[in-house]
Amino acid sequence: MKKIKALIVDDEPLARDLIKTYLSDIQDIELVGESENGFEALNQIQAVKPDLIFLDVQMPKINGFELLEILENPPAIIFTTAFDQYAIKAFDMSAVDYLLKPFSKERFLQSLEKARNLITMQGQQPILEGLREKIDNSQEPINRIVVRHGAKIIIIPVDSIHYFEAQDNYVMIYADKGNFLKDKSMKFYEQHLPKQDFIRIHRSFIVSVSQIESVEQYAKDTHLVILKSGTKLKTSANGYKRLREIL
Amino acid sequence: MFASVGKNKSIVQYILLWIVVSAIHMLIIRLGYKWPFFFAAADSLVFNSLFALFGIGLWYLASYSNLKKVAVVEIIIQHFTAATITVLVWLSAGYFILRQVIRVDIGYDEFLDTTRTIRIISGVLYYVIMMAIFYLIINLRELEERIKHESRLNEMLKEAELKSLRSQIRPHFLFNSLNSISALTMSDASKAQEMVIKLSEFMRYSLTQFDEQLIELKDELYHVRLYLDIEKVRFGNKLVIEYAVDEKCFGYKVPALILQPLVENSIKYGVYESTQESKIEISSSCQEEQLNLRIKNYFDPDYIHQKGTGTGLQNIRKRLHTIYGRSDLISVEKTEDLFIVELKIPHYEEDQSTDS
Repeated sequence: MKKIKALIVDDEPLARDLIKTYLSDIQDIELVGESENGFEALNQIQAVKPDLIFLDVQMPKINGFELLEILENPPAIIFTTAFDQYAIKAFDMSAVDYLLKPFSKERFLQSLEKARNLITMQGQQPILEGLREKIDNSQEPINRIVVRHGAKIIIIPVDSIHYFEAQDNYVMIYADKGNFLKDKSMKFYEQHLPKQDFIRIHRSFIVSVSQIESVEQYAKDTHLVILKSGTKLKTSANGYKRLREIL
Repeated sequence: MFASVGKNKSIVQYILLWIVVSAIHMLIIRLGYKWPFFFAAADSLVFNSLFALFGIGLWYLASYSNLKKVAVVEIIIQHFTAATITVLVWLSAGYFILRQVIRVDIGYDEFLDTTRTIRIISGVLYYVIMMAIFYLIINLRELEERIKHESRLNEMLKEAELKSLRSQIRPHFLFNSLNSISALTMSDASKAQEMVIKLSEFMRYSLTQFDEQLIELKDELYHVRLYLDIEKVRFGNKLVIEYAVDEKCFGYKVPALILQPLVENSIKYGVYESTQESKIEISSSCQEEQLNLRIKNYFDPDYIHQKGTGTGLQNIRKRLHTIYGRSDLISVEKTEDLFIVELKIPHYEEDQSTDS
């Protein structure tokens, strides 16, 4: 039988050691690597293509959720976290398991069992989608967006973003560092960006208030928002109303 | 005046007041109406002691008729009735007693009759003045009570505030430390034990210190060191700590747990958010009047700070302000990759014995 390839991602060496020790007498799982942050993890995931990741939530620079977001074909994930109320909420209904640190060997074996079932079955994608949706439903405002640019991870601070544009099922983010496509909905950003800093001016646009240079009349019911960069964006009637409320 | 605290003092004051009034009364009759001393004294004594006695009853009337809650008309009727009865009873009783006591007929009887009007007027005046004084006292008392109550509330509020300003051990830290211990129990039992003890000692300290408490710098530093030792076990070589603490400052008094949140912050923004080695420097220097504490940490300039940063510092500023009454005791300096917080702890005057 083919062994399951597992990767441990955690910024604390002892936390990694613990999982290693728990795994040491398990025959069907092969530890293929360890990473102490999201950047290392991405490289390793691409190099060794693990079937299972033990993923810590709180890590420097990009957290476990953000890493999960930028993975194209995410493997089975077992989150490990010390204390994260939002995470707990996010996982509650999900088949992808989470372990609250410190966790017992029994609890660890239980979640391995879940992971085995998930990996042998084909349908892990929809479950992960469900998890993503749950994370998206948390009301925590975001202050950065993590995107992938080829093999590189790019962290975009929210306050460096000029505007968002809807592109089919994706969102194009226009920021200081350039343009990046992100697999998220406009609705998500409308809900999670700081309310006083961003306005949805149109079905297709969310604009940063600080980037607005001026607003001009365009047609009877539409206005143009002119950004400091010179870009002109159309507003809808409702969008213009929201804009006037904030400005 | 007669009820509640300071009862005896109030009675003495009341009697003194009436002695003064009696003296004036006597002088008026002696000097103004030229009656012999005995008559003047009897006149004054009888009328004034009677009114003083009635005054006790009036005090209760004033206490129980609340000016704020009863309608104005009702109050006017109440006082009109009370004044009429008081003055009538007072005068009749006075006249009766004096007529019984002074039997010698040298025209005192007529004097009493001719001065009836003025006595009625002074009776009403007494009543009005006395009521005015009573109400004033009652109001002042209520005010005092309210101020006391308010300051008590404020004190409670302050206490509650301080409690919440206290360094709260982040649950994250606690559970991660327990996880490290869990790992160590399998690889290095004695190190696990050492960490359990450090964690317990640190927890005990954090749970038992009160904010108004001033403790020696030595103790505060000891517990900061416990905390950092634990973090060092968690993060290994990623965390580098340097101490430059002058031993002669060790006896200096500082508010309990004042350094803790600063060190926690520097760990949070330095180590938690860095993928490389992260250094924290703790240093102190002291003069007679002031102790300077400085916590310096390097952070990753690429790190995007969470909004709301600075509340921890705000809390320390508030705490220092609550304890020392000064808001200039904390200063913050931030460069591209360096964060420095400096605290000035003034010499605490009330406690000089342990501070040399």
